Amino acid sequence: MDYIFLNHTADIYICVSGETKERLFANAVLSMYDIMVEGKRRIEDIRKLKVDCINEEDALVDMLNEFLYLFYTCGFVCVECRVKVDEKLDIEASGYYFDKDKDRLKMEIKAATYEYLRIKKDDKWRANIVFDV
Amino acid sequence: MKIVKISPFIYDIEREGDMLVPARMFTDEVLLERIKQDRTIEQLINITHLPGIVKRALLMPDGHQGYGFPIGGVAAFDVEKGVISPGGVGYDINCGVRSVALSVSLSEMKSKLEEVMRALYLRIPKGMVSDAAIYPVRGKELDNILTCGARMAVKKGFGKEEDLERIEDGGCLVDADPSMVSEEARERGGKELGSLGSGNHFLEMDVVDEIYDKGVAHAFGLEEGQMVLLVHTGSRGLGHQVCGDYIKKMRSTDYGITVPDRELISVPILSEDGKEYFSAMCASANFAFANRQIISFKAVETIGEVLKRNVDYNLVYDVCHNIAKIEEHMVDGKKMRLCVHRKGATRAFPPRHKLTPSSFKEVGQPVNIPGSMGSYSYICVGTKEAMEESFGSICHGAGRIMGRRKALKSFKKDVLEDLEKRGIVILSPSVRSLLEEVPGAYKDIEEIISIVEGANLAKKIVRLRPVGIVKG
Repeated sequence: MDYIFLNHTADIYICVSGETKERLFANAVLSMYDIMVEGKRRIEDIRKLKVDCINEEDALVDMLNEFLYLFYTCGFVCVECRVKVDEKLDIEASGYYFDKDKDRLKMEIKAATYEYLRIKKDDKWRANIVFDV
Repeated sequence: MKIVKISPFIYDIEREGDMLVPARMFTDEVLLERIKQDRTIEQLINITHLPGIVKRALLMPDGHQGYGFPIGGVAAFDVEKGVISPGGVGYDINCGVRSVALSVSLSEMKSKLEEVMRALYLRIPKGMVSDAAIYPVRGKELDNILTCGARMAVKKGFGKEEDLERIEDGGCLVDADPSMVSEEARERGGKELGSLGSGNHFLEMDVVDEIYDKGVAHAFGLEEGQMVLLVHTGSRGLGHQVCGDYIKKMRSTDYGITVPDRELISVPILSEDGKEYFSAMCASANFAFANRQIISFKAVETIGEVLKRNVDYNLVYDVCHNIAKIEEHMVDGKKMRLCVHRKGATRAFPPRHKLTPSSFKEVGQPVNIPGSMGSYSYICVGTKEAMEESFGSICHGAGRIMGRRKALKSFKKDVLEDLEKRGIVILSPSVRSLLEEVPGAYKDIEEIISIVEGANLAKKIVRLRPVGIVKG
C-alpha cells in the first residue's frame, strides 16, 4: 500500500502517495479501505462516481466521504480504483460487498476530515489526511 | 505564546495577535507538558479566533489533539453575533455516556457475571451492523426519532416515562428538524438505531466501589455494592454524515469569516446556514439519545433474563459530550444567551440551576466520567464555580495520551490478561480494538478527577469499579 501512518493522539493520520495525481487519488481510496477492512480480495461489482472538483483538496475529502457512504449503506469495498482528475473527479471503482462471514471490519472510520489536509508534489504526489475514528 | 500559571490546576494563555479572547487550560504541571507535545494548544488557540467568542476558550484536563476544536475544548459564542462550527461538535454528534443503577448487587451478579457479559455481547449490536441493530427505522418512524429522541424510544416501549427527566434536556432537543437531515444521513444511520458502534464505544458493568458523599449518592439512587451499567455511544452513521454534509455545505458560503483551520469552518448562528446546521445537529442528538435509551433498556432486559428475575433499574443520568447548546450564562455580570460548544466535554450544572432535573434540584446534576478500559469511573456533580469558570462544563473521560497505532505497537495481549486476572470480563469482536484502548494509552483518571475537583469544577460523588466490558 502506498501510505504511511503519521503520529496523531486520537485519530488516524496518514500520508498517501502516488506517481501521478490520478494515482494519488486512487491510492487514497485504497488506503482508507485497507485501514478499515480485512477481506478476501474479489471483484463483484464496478461502481462509477463523479465528484465536483473545484478545489483538489476538497475533492479528495469529498471523494473519500462518498466511499464511506457507499461502504456504510451497501457495504461496498473498493479493491481497484481509477480516477480522472478534471473539473470533476471521474471515478471507476471495482470491488466487493462486505460479507460479515468472510470479511472483518478492522476499524470504523467516521469521516475523512480537512485537518492538516495538504496535497503536494516532490518526487511523487503526496497527501496528508486525518480520518476521524 | 505566553502560558501563565494561575493556580496548580489552572493555566492561562494570554491574548495576543489575532486572538479575540485568551484561553484557559484546566490541567496540572505534568499534563501540561504532555499536551505541549502535540497540537492541542495550537487547536485551542485557533478557537479564540472565531467571531463572537466570549470570555475565553477552555481546555478540560482530559484534553488532547483532535480536529478543529481539540478534544476537551469548550467555547461559548454570543448567539446574536457569534458563530456555530460543526468542528466544535465533531462527527459523532451527541456522543455521550449513560449510567443506569440496577436493582442487583455484586454479590448476586458475581456467580453469573460471565454469563451476563456473554449475553450482553451477543444481544447488543456492535461493530459494523447492516440490519442487525435493535430497532432499525426509516421514513416517518425515523422522523419521529429525530424529532422526539428518547421520548419516542420510551413511547415505543424502550424504557419508562421517568427515565426522561434524567436525560440531558429530557432526551429531546426541541429545535430538531428532520427535514434538515439529508437522505444520505437517513439511509446511513437509520438502520443503526440501537447499536454501539466501535472505537472507544462500550457497554460496561460496574459496581459502586466507594461513596464520597452519601447524601448526594442517595439522591442519585446509588449505594455501595450496587451494580451500575454504563453505555458510551452516539448518533452512529447518521451524525457522522450530518456533520460531513454541513461542513461541505458551509464551504460554499461566504460570511467573511476567516478561520485558521478548515475544520473550524463556521457560519453565524442566526444565519439560515447556521439555523439549518443547528436543527440537523439537534435531530442527530435526538437520534443518539434514543440510541442510548434503546441499548440500555435492552441490556437491562438481557441481565434480567440471565438472572431469571425481573431486574428493575433507575436511570442515574445521560449526558452529551459532543454538542452545541443554546444556554443562558452570566458573563461579566450580564446575562447572555450563548451557543456553548462542548467537544469532548460534559455539561455539569449545579444545584438549583433551572435545567437541573427536579429530582436533583438540591444536589446538582450527575456527571458521568468514565475512565479508560479497566480503570475506575466516576459520577460527579456540577458546582456553582463551574458555571462561572467553564460555562458549567467539565471533562468527559480520561483522554488519550497515545495514538492508536502506537498503542498497538506498545502493548501486548498480557495487558488484557492482567485485566482479566483482576476479575474483569472483557469481550470484543477484535483484540486489536481492545489493545488500542488499553489503560496505558489514556491519562490517569485519578489525576483528571483531582484536577476537576482542585479547580472546583465538580465534586466526585461515587467511584465505580468495572467488572465486565463489552467493546464495540
